[in-house]
Amino acid sequence: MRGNAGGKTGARTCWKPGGKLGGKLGGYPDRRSLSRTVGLSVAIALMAGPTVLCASDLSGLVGEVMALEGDREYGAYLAGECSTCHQLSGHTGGVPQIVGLPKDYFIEAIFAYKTKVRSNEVMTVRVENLSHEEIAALAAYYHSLSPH
Amino acid sequence: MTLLTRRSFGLVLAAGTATLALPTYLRAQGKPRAVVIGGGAGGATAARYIAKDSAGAIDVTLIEASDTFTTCFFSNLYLGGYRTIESITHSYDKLKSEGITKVTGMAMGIDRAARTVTMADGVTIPYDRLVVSPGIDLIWDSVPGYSEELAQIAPHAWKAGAQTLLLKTRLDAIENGQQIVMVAPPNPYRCPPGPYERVSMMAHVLKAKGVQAKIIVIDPKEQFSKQGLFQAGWDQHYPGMIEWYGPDIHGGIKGVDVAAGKVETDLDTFEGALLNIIPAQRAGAIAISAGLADEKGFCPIEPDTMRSAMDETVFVIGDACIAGDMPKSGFSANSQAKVAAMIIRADLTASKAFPAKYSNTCWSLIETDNNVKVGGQYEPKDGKITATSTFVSKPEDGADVRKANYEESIGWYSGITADMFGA
Repeated sequence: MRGNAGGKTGARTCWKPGGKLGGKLGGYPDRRSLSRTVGLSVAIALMAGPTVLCASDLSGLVGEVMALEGDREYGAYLAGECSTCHQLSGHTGGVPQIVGLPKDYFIEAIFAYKTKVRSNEVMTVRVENLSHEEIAALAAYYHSLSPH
Repeated sequence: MTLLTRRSFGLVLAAGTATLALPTYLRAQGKPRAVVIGGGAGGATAARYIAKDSAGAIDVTLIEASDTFTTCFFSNLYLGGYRTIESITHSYDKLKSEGITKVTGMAMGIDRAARTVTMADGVTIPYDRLVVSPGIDLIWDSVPGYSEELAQIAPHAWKAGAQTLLLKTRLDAIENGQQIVMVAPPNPYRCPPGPYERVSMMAHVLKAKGVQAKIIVIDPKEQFSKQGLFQAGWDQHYPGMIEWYGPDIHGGIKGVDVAAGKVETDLDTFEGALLNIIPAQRAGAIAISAGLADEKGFCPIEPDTMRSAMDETVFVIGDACIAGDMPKSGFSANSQAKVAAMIIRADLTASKAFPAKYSNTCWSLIETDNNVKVGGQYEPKDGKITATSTFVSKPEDGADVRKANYEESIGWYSGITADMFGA
């Protein structure tokens, strides 16, 4: 369950930016939103030219977010749009249960969707523009709950 | 700290005793009152979130004419035989046990100066903040020859409940050699992929029973939501059963003769043993009579709060509002309701308000385990609710993905109804 965070990750542990992150700013409207999304050091590396993000980079991103103090109240607000599918009761049908997850696992899963290591179109758009602070807030919130 | 926009801050400064902000010490007695009109995906969610997130600090009243609520979303799955009507019908009991007062009846009018809602029986209900979530009303004569009475013979089933049951009964009675004719609605309307999921579900029923029957769709629109995906699915699963005609083929819908089972277009007259007429739509009547709608019949709102552009103490959500890039869907109504609830709590209890974020996903079932989806993220931008990213299923999706979409939609339905009615 650790490492590549389960799910459909067997195919790749390295990710070459294409599509949304190909090109100098890769579809991001400005440097700030690129940096907010993937972190400053990664944004600089991406803008320098074609590069590859590997699992070790994912763990770097996870580390950056883990280092932040997640605002649980902000996470509670952001979770409003998650909890329709990822029910707080823990009953979720065909949708993964995320209540009470360890923070690093949660954060890694978010980045796995951002980098398309895990693929689900709904999750991709939900997490695409989440900043480090927002991910930290969500992780703090969901970690603080237990399923009913 | 309440997040005030420049506009509302100006109003606070200018308006002295206005109750827009800091109402806790403007109310002489009792709790501040939030009233919600409409107990569907928008209204029930709004009532629930205002009540639960304010931990009892706000008095919440939900006005809804029905005792129970049958969701329009997933009603196509009932038509297709995938769900029972009971499984898509929900009680308000849990909401009542969460402290919400349910008034069962029809809200007939809003006195925005006095800040009261008037019920059909004359009772007036005062509010400090009002959520208007009445859904849509059908513009009967947008299809010449159609009417509310004739919907008992040619159902629209675009409001769930009795109409849904009627359509199902009529669908199940279709025999070999008969035809179903659907008149699809013009934009803007509730649930963009809905008519085409319905066509798919009708075809599924007929095919499963071995009934040789056709479905004709007369569409005032040149294109429709997830069109390529639906048409590929129809070719794959229901070859020869479904014919879709856009305006460039049919040349315009002239009218319907329900008694004779005929839909007349410029091209030809189409006959059906079952006519499913889905007329043009506008916001529910109460929103219009209260002066909340524009000349096109839907209600403009401020994208960062869901406040009515006509009245800062009123919030319009769901199908009745003009939500920019968001489609009119149950998912959107639930998303908008949470923003409105947050802002109302900030108005009434000085709780924190965060920047509005919205999302939507619409799932459509084409055939068993073949489900396609479309959706996006939205934010207030350029004066409206603007999509920041969107997605749609791909034609080349594997069968495993289409099946996973279906299972996801089941999880979503369970979640949104828990969100609306209590877990």
